[in-house]
Amino acid sequence: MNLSSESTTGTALEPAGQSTAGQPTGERIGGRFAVLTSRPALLNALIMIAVLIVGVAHDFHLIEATPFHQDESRWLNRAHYLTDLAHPFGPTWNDQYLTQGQPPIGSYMMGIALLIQGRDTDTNTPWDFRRATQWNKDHGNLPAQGDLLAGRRFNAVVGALAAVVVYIVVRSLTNAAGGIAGALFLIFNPLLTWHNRLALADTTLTLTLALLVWLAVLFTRSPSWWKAIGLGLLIGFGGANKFTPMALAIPLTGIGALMVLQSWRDRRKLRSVHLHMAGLPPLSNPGWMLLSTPITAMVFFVVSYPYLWPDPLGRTLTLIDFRRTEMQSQFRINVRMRAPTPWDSLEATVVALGDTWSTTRHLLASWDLRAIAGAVSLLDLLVAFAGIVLCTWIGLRKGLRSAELIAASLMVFQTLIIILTMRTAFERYFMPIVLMEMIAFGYAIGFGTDVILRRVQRGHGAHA
Amino acid sequence: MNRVTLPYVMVVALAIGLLTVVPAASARDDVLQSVIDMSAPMVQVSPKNLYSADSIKVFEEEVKHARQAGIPLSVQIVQIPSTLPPLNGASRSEQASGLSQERTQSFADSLLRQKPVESSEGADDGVLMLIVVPRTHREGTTVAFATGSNTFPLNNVRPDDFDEAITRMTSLFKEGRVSDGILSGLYYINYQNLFGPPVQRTQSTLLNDLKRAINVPGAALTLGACAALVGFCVFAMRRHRGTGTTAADMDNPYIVAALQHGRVDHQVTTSALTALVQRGALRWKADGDTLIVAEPNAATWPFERAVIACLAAEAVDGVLSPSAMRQLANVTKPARAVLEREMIDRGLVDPASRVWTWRIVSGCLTLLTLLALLIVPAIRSMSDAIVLAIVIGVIVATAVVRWATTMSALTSTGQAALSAWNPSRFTPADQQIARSTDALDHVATNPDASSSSANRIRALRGLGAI
Repeated sequence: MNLSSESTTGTALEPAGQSTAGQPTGERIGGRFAVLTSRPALLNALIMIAVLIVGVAHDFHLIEATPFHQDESRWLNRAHYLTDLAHPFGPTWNDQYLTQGQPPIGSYMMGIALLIQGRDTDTNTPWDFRRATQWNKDHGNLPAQGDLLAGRRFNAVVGALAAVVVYIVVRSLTNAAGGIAGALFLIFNPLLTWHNRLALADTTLTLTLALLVWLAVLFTRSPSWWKAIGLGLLIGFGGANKFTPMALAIPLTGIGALMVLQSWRDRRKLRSVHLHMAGLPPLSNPGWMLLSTPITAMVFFVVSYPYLWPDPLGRTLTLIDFRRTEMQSQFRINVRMRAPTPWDSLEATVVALGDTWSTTRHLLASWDLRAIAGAVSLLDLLVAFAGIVLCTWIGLRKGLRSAELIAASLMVFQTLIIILTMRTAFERYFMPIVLMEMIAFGYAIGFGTDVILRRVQRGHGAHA
Repeated sequence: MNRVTLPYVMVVALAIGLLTVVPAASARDDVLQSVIDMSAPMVQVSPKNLYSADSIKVFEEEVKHARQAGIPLSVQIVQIPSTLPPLNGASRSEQASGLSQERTQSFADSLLRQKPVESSEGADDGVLMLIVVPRTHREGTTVAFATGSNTFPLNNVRPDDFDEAITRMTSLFKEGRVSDGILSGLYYINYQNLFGPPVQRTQSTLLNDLKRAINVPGAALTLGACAALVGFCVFAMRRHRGTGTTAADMDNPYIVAALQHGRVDHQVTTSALTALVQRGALRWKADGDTLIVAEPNAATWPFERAVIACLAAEAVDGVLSPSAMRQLANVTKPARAVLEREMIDRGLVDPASRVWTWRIVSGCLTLLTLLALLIVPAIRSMSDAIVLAIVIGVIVATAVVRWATTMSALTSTGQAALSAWNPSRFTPADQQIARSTDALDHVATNPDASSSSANRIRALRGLGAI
């Protein structure tokens, strides 16, 4: 049994003469292309560093020239939430407009952004959207340039980290080629680029969701209660940033329930094992772990926000009511962005991802290839669609405990929940969908390169 | 569809669908509704031709916004007719050129008494903004706010904010910009209501007394419980390490593997299964999903033979079912029991280690229960010291659970034996077995591992073909 270093490429689990992988000829044929799929740790580390550098450099570029967004005033204003956590019964956490308006994580992140860059959390007063820009400027609602840039720089790094995590996720599902493709398309996506250069909360959500998919993949590879708790914490973290990620507990719970059911059925089929508790699987079963994620998420959601403490359920409903009212108001005001039915939302999503915010279109246009940019702008969306279909199909083939199934379920569910609840097609609503799109895009590329490499190896083997 | 059978998927999809579409039960009273529906007029102008309908509509929009945000506000704009007798002692010339601030305030107060502005009858919680526009000299326009006895606390609006609004409005009135002044005041109050510095909540004397009574003692109790838990862990560790020091002679690679891993668990079984596959005792079926018990005699070590026996008992015609593959940890449990018994007999593993683990975990659960009991009184009485202690308690309990569940079960004899282990006495294959547990774990969880090999190790860990 040879398990050391590179010896894990197939022979470890085969009797002599039965190995199907790691043939010297295959390794030789792969050549430089095989480097991308051989995945030595050092190369991976270098790729991750490169993705981070490219992401940071790209997002830092033009960061000062990016026009001010009114929401930046609000997020920077609430940076003091972070330091006010030291006084959980202080007036900051009263039942009031600002506390009802947004869950707190985005504000905490802005607080961290300011503190780690040597600034304090005492910033501007909040922007009043009902008033004109001049009125807000006169009343000190425009953030100081230093605060604004600190928030933006922080998000630029967070956005680049999200790209690194996308690389890791796709690489762990397919190979490094897919990981690089997914990460680069995420970095150069115009929607994410724009938001990574703003001091808003959406970039944190992107990173959170990427980490969630990664941890879910790791969980299937090696389930543990700690990873399940981590999944619940990330869902709660995402929910305490932008609500919709809370819905991601539903697919995880569904998979968990199926796992328990499957395990219960398996155990009842065993002939040599004496069953306790009517054959229910023990707590070490990954199904129970996944079933715990909504509880962990809700607990984190409440604990992270002192506003909720006096009446967790009632005030959570207040937050939801407020959000619903806001969305109705936005729907009423923004006539041109209305998407009254899920079909309209789907159409808006296809237009946004396939045209307005298409990475392919943006890259080609930036290379002065506008003539073909429009014609092929759907490329990333179509490849991503192929990727998600492949990932789901492979996941269903491999079974409940496959990394592909859990990753696909998270990608599909996050996209669906946004489309079903959108009603107003604000560009920021598409950000989580773009993230999932790029993971699926990378998956398709990785899968494709794997197939090509295998065919090349097989062809050369036959030729030899 | 392999493994995921259609009925299961349908049942779970239906449950998910129900969860998604059933709306949250949120039949909550809308506390704002009474303010929005209050009977007092939003804007009352006298005489009616003082402002155009458009101007009044703009004022009403702001008042409506104020009410939607919880301020029971009413605005009255009056120009006192010359036919009226002097108001509140003001002279006719004053009424023509502008009232003093004091007289306007007194006028506003008396108006509020006569015609209450309130969210419901008797609530006495409204705000009246009175603007008195002189007949001849608009620069002398004055404003006053009258409030009810129950107006405050009023979201983030404080009494001082009304004074500031008066200052802002008056400065515009003095320029003759009465409409701008009124709007400026309404804007200011609306802004302060939503975005002004929040007011510290007050609590009842009873809750203040409760805080005094429990804040420090509750925090001390919590921290004391944490210290007791840590002390219990130290005691448990010393207790289960034992005192034996004799280094046993290590001749069995699976015992060394278990010693390396710190306990006998399914990872040791995975090592055996992997070795058995390599030795040809077990063979992968053509589809690569299940194992065939091919050559039981190829098993050399007693632990391997015990594992083979477990698998053979479950196999049908020598082939393990997918169900059994997913339950390998369960199926091979008797084999691990044999190995563990041998290690216990040799003094390498503490037989009570699991008991101590559960005792420690129970201690953590007890601590967490105590913390849970403290949460409600701590929050109700705003006892920040207890909250801090609860946070510390949760961190300590989590760390202790983590430590207890990964704690090595070896006795000091086992540790000494491991230290004294001489790999050169083993064949290279047995050395691999002895060192395999963590290596296999690394392969199974490491994305850098090639998929076919890693997937099979994952399958041998009972995780299915991943």
